[in-house]
Amino acid sequence: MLEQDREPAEVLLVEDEVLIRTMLAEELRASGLRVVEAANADEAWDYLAAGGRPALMFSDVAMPGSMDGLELTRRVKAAYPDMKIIITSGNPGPRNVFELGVFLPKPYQLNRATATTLAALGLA
Amino acid sequence: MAAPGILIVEHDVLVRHPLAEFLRECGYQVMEAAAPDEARTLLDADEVRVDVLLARGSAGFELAQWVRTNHPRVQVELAGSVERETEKAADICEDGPAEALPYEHKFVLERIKQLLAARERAERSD
Repeated sequence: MLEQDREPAEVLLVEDEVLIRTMLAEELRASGLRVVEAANADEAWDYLAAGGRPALMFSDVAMPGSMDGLELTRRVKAAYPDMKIIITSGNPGPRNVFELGVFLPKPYQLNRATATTLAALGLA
Repeated sequence: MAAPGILIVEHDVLVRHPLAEFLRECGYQVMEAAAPDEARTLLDADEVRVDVLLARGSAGFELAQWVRTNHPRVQVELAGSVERETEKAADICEDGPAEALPYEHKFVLERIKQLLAARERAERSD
């Protein structure tokens, strides 16, 4: 199969700060990825419950709604163990955060977040 | 020249995402807002260009009034249902930078209905 014939990898981007989400989503799309934008953990879980199967979930931790990004990540790890996960937060996160996925501290530069995503997908 | 910017304001990710992907295929720069406050943040941001706002429901009507006052150059397209919202997206697509429709809008609507049905099944089985 030719490189250009491959389906782009899909990333589920979970971020409640709309400017950050929009800018990072555009960076990721410009890198050839398909991006599903979720404004909180509940939306992300909705997408997965409806059959969405992204290759990677990039999630903030502190978000409004019935669960935060850590609870979402625990659920995703249990239900979809093959999904790659990047967690981002302005706080250090719990001690076991590295067992849940790659941890990217906030604030981050968009190109660093994109590089981390591509590396996690094996596309770097 | 940069592609025209479309801002979709839609509270349901299962509706918002397929519509946004469709309009991206039509050649637009598409931004997604899950709520009117997100839309206002994007509209007020210097680095974001919005030419058309597509919104649904009563929240959309309130937002439209605010947009007409604060961003009068933005064209507002309001829809009362998912079906109408999809038709509006198809109309926007026909005026868009791409030379041809990427696919019929009925396929977008079908995809949205499939996603909504899948979520309902998942909720029932919980």
